[in-house]
Amino acid sequence: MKIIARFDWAKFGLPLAFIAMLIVFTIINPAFFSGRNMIQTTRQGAILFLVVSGQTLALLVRGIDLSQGSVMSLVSVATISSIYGLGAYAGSVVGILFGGLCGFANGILIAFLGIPPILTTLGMLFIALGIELVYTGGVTLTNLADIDQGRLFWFGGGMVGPVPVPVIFAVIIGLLFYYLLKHTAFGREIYLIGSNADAGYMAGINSKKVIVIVYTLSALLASLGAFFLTARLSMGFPHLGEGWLVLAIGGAVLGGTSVLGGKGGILEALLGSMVIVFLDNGLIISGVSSFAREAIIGAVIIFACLASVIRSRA
Amino acid sequence: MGRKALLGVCLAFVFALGAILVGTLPAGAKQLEIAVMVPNGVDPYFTAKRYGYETECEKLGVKMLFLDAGGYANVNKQIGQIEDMLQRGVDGIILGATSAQGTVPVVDKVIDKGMPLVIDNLDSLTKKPVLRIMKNGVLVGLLRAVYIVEQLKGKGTVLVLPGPSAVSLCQEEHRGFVEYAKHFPGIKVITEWTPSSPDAGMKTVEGVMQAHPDLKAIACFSPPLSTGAVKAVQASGVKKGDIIIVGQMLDAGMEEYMKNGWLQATVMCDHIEMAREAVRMLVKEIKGELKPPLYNQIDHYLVTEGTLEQFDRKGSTYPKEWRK
Repeated sequence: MKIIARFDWAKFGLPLAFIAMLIVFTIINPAFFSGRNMIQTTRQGAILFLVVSGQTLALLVRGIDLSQGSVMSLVSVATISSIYGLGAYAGSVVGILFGGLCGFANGILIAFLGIPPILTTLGMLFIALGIELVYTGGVTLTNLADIDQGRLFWFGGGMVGPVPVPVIFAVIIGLLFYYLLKHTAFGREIYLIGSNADAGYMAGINSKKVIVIVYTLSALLASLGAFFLTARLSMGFPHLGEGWLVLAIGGAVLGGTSVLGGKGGILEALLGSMVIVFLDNGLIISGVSSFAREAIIGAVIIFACLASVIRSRA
Repeated sequence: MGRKALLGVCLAFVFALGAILVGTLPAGAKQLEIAVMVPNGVDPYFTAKRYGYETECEKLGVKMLFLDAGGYANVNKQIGQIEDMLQRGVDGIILGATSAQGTVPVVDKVIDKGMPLVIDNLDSLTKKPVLRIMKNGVLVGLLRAVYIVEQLKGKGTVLVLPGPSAVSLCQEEHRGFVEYAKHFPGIKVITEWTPSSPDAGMKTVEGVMQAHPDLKAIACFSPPLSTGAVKAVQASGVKKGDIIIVGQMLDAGMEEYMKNGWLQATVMCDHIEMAREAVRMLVKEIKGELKPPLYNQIDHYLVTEGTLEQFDRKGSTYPKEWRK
């Protein structure tokens, strides 16, 4: 009993629940733990992890980025239409930068004009959606040249040995951001602004600069997620990001990032993303109906939000 | 004369001139303005139909306002759009409803106000007399089922991706499929309701393929879901044709899949012609030449790799150079 009482549930509760979930789903259907299923689920998880990491950064500075889903849709069509003219590699970079530009605009509006993040990013949600719908007229962009399609597809659907390409990129980016948040002055500034903005100001932190960078990075990470998804589908889908915002916020909070700022990080983003994708996948494989799946995932996210609030108050 | 007085005289002159111009215009010169309202404009089905609406409006000299609810679940947004059009006083509305039940009150309001209305394919279950031009969802589902059952010789596991569960047409198509398939005890049907997007289709098919390695066929409600299904099957390492995929409509990507053997068949209808007919029906109603109720049902047919090059495309495809 003492061991249970001393156990740090806040820290290790979710990882334990995650492992238990993997075991339960494997018992229900051993196909869940098959190599192929692990590969395809980690591929989905890698994309979600990138988007959730972006949202985590915004939450850490006591903000939120509601524009992520629309930015993803914009990046999807911007990438494919850029590839038409510039080829796969340059076109992809241009597409991703489009997303970064939206984040930069968010940051400027929040930091320098003082518009609350929720309103700024809500506005950007509609602006990004509007731009890409006006540009495409709602038409899905396909018909890439064979050489471009092959190059693009590698990023989303390719493998290096047994590892999906998006997973490799996600690991590199994850390590980079882990280092950034935990071992650099910039990372410490992010946490300080999120936990106590006044103290940050007193410490001489240029919070405006930090906020601009954070929102730019948030959009860039969502853009990378959109890029890998677009690459896998080899098409520019004008509503690609629909539904992703909920997963992004849910994943961040589920992992343990506080909605009140200053607590959380990349490991939490990773854990939250993995729980969501493996839960969804496990429920599909277990034959749970699509209606019940939605309810279960929603309930888990709400439970995690509640836990986050309770932890913050404690 | 002071400045204010001079400004007043100028304004009076402008108003008088405007009134004279309006008064002298022949009554018939007023351009008709109609609103076309769709639930999910990015669905290739509605993109193609938009071409039909636009070309027919141009032909008839009608001004068209195109309003997209932005998703099958956005019932409230569409209700707001319909109310906005009532306020604007457009001459008529063509409506593809987001929800068969949810839109009934606002559709009743439109009819009560005497505004001409054509319900185009996605029904609103009003009991008041209205013009309808409809696909037969049950028949669409049944056509898919007939093809799949025949190909599988009455035995095998089939995944049905009917699309968003709230859309009545999806429910009808699903019913058509299941009603036919249940006569074949060897056919096991798995249904997964999903949003109509390629990533939702891909993710779902990947999961189901793990749970059911014996999966033999996939029936998809829309081009985005068909794309997702093909991508998932391609990635799984299964040989083309080992899992039969039957889609709905035909966009450029799907046509490529069919040519390459990844997509075996698709259920078609002349939806662009259907859009044109909806405009013609509405204009006739506005002019008093057509009175509700009227139920105009269009035909459906199956296109396979073998008939891909032969079927008449003028009612279902738009020119490549057309893109808004």
